[in-house]
Amino acid sequence: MPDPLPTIGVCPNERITRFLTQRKWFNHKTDNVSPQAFSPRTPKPPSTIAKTSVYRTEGCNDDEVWLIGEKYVTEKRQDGQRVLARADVSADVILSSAGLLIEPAPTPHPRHADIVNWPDSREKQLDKMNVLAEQSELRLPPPTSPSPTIDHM
Amino acid sequence: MSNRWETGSGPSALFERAKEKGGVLSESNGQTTEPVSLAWKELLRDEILDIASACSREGWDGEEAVPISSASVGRAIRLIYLAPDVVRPPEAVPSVDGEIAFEWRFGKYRRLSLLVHGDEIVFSAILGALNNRESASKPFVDGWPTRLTEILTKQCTSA
Repeated sequence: MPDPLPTIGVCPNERITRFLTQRKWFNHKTDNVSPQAFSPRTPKPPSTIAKTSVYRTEGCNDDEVWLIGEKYVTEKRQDGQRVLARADVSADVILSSAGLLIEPAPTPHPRHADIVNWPDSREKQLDKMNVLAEQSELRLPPPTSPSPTIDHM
Repeated sequence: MSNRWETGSGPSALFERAKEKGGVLSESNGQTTEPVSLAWKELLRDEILDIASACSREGWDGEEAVPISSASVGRAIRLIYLAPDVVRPPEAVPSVDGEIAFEWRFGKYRRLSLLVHGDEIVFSAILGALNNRESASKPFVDGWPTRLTEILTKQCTSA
């Protein structure tokens, strides 16, 4: 089991995972991830920071990544909807190609982080969302649930 | 909410369904019952309404997504009905800020996203390479921005 990632800075070669909970945010037939999957949440006062919730999954095997999605995304939802897929993207794409930042936010999980530094302009946001979508890799969950423990992941 | 790509009713299927609906020249009587462009727009309108219904409450994404309002739906439908005839059906996608976006993907490094944000049409495209990108915001008045139509015409005809 990989060590937990504390609030250390993000390395460019890390894998970053965005869990997808909407069917319209991906197309498994064309391996396409919608740019809207990366759209930042509009900040609610007193927060002024737009952010996109992601997980730092470098060093995790596939089952461990899906387990994080199951435990910390699916089970946190109150509407019964599940993680349907995930988009994996290199931190370097987020940091360099899109010019955004990844801020460790280890709640609800040590590997949780937020993509931040989004511009205010919707036009510029859309440009960066396109970059992330184009460079991300769509992954679908295995047919059976993963079984590793979550304790130290 | 269904994914019409998965159920065989995504952008290309929308076009096929539009033809089935009567938007083609009939072999039997030589009459066109309805333009293809109008037929796919009607199908896409229905899809927009489906999305709006599924995303009508706060936090529909499991986080803090803004509900898709009737005003957003109205703007999205109006935008689609103003689409020039050269435009192929896009995919309609909900956005966490309460908008409905439209997306085309023409191939690797070729995609375009479009939405109405307030009283502006906003679009952003990747045109063949990651460093070949273009985006703009234009007032949403009575039609699509010329440059947007130019990009889509070129991409639709070369895809």
